[in-house]
Amino acid sequence: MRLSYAIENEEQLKLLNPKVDEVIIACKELSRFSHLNLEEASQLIKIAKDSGFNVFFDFDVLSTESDFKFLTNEFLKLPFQFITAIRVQDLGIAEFIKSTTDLDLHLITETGNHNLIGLKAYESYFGKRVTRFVVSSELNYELLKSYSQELNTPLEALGFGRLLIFYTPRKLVSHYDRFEWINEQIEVSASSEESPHKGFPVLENKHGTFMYHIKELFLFDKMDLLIESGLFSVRVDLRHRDGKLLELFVNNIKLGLTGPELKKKIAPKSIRGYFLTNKSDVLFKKLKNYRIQRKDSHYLGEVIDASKDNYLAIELKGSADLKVGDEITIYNPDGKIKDVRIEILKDFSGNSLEEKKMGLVLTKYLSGVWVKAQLYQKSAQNF
Amino acid sequence: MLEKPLKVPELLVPAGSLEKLKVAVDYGADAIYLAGLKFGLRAAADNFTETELDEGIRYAHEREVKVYLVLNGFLHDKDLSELPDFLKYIEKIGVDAVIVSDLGVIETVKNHSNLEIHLSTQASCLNAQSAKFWKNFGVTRIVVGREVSLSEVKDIKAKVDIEIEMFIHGSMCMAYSGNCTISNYTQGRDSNRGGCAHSCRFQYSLEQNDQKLSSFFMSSKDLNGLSLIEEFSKAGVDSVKVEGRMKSHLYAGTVAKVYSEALNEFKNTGKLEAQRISFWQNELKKFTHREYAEVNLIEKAGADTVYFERENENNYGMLGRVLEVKDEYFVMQVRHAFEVGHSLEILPFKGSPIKLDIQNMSSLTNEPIERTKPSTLVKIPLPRERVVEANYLIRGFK
Repeated sequence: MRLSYAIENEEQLKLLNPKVDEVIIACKELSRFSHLNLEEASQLIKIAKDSGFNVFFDFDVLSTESDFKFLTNEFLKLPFQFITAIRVQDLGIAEFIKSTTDLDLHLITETGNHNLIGLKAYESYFGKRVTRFVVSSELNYELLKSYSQELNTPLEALGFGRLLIFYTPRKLVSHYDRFEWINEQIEVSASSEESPHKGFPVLENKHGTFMYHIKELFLFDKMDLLIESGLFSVRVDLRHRDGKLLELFVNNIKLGLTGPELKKKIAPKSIRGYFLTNKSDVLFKKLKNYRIQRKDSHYLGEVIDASKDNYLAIELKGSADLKVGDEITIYNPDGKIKDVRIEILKDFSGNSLEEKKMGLVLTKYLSGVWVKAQLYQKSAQNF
Repeated sequence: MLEKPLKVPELLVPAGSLEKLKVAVDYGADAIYLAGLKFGLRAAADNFTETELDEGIRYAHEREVKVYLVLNGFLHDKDLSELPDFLKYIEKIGVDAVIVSDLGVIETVKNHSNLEIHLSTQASCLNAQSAKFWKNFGVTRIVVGREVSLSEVKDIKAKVDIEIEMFIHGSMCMAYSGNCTISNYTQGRDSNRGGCAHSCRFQYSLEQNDQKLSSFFMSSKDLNGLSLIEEFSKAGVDSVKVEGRMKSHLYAGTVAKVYSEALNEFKNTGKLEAQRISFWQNELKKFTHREYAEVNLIEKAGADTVYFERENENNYGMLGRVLEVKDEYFVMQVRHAFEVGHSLEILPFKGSPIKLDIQNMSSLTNEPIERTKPSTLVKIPLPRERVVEANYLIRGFK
């Protein structure tokens, strides 16, 4: 397993070993996050390459049609001879790089690609030009392990750094005059006043506004699982932090430190995200009241008015007839079930009916049956 | 009137339930988009069971309205294994296209059906090169990202032979669609598989050193492109889309009616009079909405497109619907209470709203009622115009 470090200067480069480490370099013009301009990034790219590193460049912004030409023109100014691969999320930019350069692609599939079929389709389409998938932090290690086995393309995931959870091209902070720009970006801390979540880092720069998780992701205390997951590379991105943390991390990794001791020393307030398990869809299903959902072809309709001691008004919506003498089952929204026999049917003018298909009908009031109760032919439905 | 009507975009309206589908169709939608119980992005909407899908598609097709089904969640492997049977079913009952955002879903759709594929805005397709990429995978229509302007759509259309669908009205994601996972990490709900908790609508305290303020800083104003129908048409947009599967019956009916009337008027006359636009804009205020803006349609959205207020429900809204019409009265299903002396508006499928002053009303058993209760039925004498039909919506102050 290799480590890919996002770096911004020579001092950071000197901490790393080109035999096992790789470097990611970015610039303000083309990348979501960087303190370097294109010229500074180009110089660092050359130095890193001359030092024996594989150099990857972040062209990871998304681009609308009107910005596309400017961005790709800037991109063409990079010293391609020193770059091993371009890291890209926008598929239009990926197409552009594929058709205008010989550079390899590291496809950023962190959002919207959580299945093997999709990743295989990318692999098939880009062929040998895609040499890495940067995969989502929502994939747990078991999925990573199976993907690593199933795909020909090596995988990379974030191992230590900020988790990006929101990206917009709109400038959401700078219009408040009171916040200070530092190196062409503004960073504030956002705390929800309607939930317990406090202290999201929010960063605005020329590409828009980015929100990150309150805590950094840190997986290196589970080094055994990282290795077992089959990831080809694990990314470390501490460009938002003091350079000393990177040094501390690199030195401890070199010493072979892992487990809780490493976490305590390096990232005590970090999270593991979904690396061990992803249960993000479990809670939400509970919001549904399945009892008032229409189910099958035995469906008759819905109670739309219940006038005590007078009538139940029913809107017949299903394809089946309702007849006097029919045995039906009524499912109340609270889950109570009643089996009843239809004794009378009337239209809204009070005329007696023998049967009715679709439309509106009245029947005898039944205690304990409410509006929105669902009617089915008896025994046709099992909840 | 023009000798030859102009080509105008299809009007695509959301339906969060079978009832809303019928409302949208009755009020003038050319096409409907909806979801089954799985695979969509709005798990909190009622959505459609298989029998409801069947009925909804029949209802729409009998009225020459198309139905697109959203499969636009970013699906995980276990979700995909359940998809092929569903695809076979929806193909059999006649779904006109599926709206997809994930390449894995696209491949599954292609491998198990001949369904037409539209790319969801969730995929954030923003440029011509990206449109070419998706076209190579068999996509026939792109719902462009909400960040794309009308002039950019024109450029994309010039470079790629593909249908373009574009949002014209409704709530906006503040993030690039598909690039927000706040709910995943704060609520344990996958925002890209139907669980969005709308964290962008919350109030936040922003802090930097000793500077602090409180703001709804990441909540977007609602999109309203009514005044730009001519520009949509000139840009070559094939379909204009209204957001809002979670929204009310009145919303579905009003937006369908307003935009279909405006599109038809432009199609037949080649222009929209300012007075007519003003009338329609006023209609679009008669349901709950945030402040309107054109957001990215003309230029990149600025700070003036942020909605800095807490959301409040409009006090003007749907009071009920007409269930049945008799010689002297109609039966109304009441959603919100009102009383004798109140003035209501009946919203016909076509034409101007009908004023309805409530002078008297009664229960189905003919007992006089002074004030209605929600979820009851009442008889109301027909207005003088008498042009009332079943399923007309009735609105007023709540």
